[in-house]
Amino acid sequence: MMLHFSGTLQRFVGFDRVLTIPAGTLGEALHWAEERHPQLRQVLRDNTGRLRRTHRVVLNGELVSAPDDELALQEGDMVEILTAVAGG
Amino acid sequence: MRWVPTPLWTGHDDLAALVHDRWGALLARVNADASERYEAGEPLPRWFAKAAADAGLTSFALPRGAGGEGAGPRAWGRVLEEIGYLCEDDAVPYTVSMQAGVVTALLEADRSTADRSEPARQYVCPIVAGTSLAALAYSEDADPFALVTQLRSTRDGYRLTGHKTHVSGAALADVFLTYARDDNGDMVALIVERDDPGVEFGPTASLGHRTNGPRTMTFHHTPVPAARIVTATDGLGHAQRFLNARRLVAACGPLGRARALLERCIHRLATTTRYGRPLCEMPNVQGALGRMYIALQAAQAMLHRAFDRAESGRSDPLFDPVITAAKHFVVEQVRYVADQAVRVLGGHSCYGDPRYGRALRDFTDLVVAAGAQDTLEVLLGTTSVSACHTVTGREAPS
Ligand SMILES: Cc1cc2nc3c(=O)[nH]c(=O)nc-3n(C[C@H](O)[C@H](O)[C@H](O)COP(=O)(O)OP(=O)(O)OC[C@H]3O[C@@H](n4cnc5c(N)ncnc54)[C@H](O)[C@@H]3O)c2cc1C
Repeated sequence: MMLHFSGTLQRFVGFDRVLTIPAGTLGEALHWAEERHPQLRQVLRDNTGRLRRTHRVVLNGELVSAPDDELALQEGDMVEILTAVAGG
Repeated sequence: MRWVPTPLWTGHDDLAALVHDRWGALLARVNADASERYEAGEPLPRWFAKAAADAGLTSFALPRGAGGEGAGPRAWGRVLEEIGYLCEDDAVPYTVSMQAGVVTALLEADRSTADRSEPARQYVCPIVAGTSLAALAYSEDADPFALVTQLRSTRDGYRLTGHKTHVSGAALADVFLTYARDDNGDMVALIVERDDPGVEFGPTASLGHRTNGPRTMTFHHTPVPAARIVTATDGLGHAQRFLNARRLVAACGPLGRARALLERCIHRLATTTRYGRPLCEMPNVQGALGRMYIALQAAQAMLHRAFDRAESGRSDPLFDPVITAAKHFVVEQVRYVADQAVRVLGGHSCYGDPRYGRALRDFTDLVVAAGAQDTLEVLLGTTSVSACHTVTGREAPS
C-alpha cells in the first residue's frame, strides 16, 4: 500500500510525499512510518495513542469517517493523511 | 408598531425584529459612546457582560440545561448578524459569541463522562450569569505543532509556563481557555484565572478592534490544579473544534455592520450635491452601490447556507469547508464594501464620519483573525484536491 502525507504534514516525513509500505492495517502502516520518522508519532497521535481528530484519512479517494488502527488495507491501496488546522 | 428592517434586505426572518425588540436598548446604550471608546482604545465597559447576560443575550444559543434558550446555529448566527447591524461596537458580537463559545467548549469536553467535568461545573454558571468573562488564549508566534507554552506536572498539580501573543478581551476577562503542551508533547486544554500567581498581562494592539481589550499573556510557572484541565489529550482537536465554530460566528457581526454601512453611505450620497445634483444620481456612484449590494447579498447567501449546514448537524466539527468558505467570502465582501464606500464618499469617509475608517481597520483584521484567509484558501484547496483525487478511476465530470 501507499501512504501519502499532504500539506503541513509533509515536513514530518522529510517531504517524502509517498511511502510504499508492506502493511495490512492502517496501524501497521502508521507504525512503519513512525519508526522511520520518529517525530511523526507525536504529530499523528494523542496521549492515548489514538489518531488525532484533526487528521483526515482518505482511503482510495474516500474519506474514512472514524479511522482507527484496525482499518484493513490491501495491496495497491492509497491512504492519504491530511490535516486541516487554522488559527483563531 | 412592530419594528421592520429596511426593505433593502428582503427575505428576512423575524430575528431582525427580535434583536431590535429584545436587545435594541442595550445596543443603543453601547452605541452612545462607541466612537469615543474606539478612539481611546478603551474596552467595552464591564457592565455590558452582566447586562447582556441579564437580557438573555449571552445564553441565547446555549443549551437549556446550562441556563440557555437552546437557539440553534442559524438563529444565533442571525442574531449576531443583526447585532452587527444595530451596534457600532464590534466587541459586542465578539464578546457574547466568545462567552457562548467557551461555555459550549467546556460542556462538550465532558460529553464522554456522565457528570459535568470540574471546569464545566466551576465556570459555566458564572459565565452564563455574566459575573465572569471568558477569553481565548490560544495563539503564539508559532504553528500548532510548535507551541512553546508548557504544562509540567508537579506533585500537587501542574505548572504553566509560556506566552500568548494576542488575547482579545483579556483586559477584562476573568477566565481564559488556554492550550499548552504536556510532559509528553500532547496538547492540553485548560483554564487559567486572571488572578492566578504568575499570570502577567502586557500591552498589544491590533490594526482595528480597538474596543476588544486585547492583551498579551505570560505564564511564569503558574500553578494549575488538576481540576482546571478541560481536556487532557488531543487539545489540538479541542482547539480546532472551538475555532471551526468561531469561524462561523466571527463573520456574522461584520456582515451586519457592512449592511448598516451601505445604508449610511446611501443616505450620505443622497444628501451630498455635486455639480447641481445628488451624488447618488451619478451612474458611477449607482454602479458602486449596486456592486456593494451584490457583495452583501452574496455574503448573506453564503453565510446563511453555512448556518443551515451547521443547523442540520452535517457540518464537519473540526474543519468544515462550507463554514470556512463562508468566513473567507464574507470577509472579502465586507472589505470590498468598506473600500467602495471610501471611493464614492470622498473626504467624508476619511474625515467626516469615523465609522468608515473603523470598518476598514476592523474588517482588515479579519484577514488574519478566525483563521488567516491565505491559510484557509490553502486548506480548502488541499481538502478539495483530496476529495476529487482518486485512484479508483472515477472520471472527471464532462
Ligand atoms: C483582531 C484579532 C483578534 C485576535 N484575537 C485572538 C484571541 O482572542 N485569542 C487568540 O489566541 N488569538 C487571537 N488572535 C491571533 C490570531 O489567532 C492569529 O494572528 C492568527 O491565527 C494567525 O496566526 P499568525 O499570526 O501566527 O499567522 P500565521 O499562521 O503565521 O499565518 C501568516 C501567513 O502565513 C501563511 N501560512 C500560515 N500557515 C499556512 C499553511 N498551513 N499553509 C499555507 N500558508 C500558511 C499564510 O499566508 C498566512 O496568511 C487575534 C488576531 C487578530 C488580528
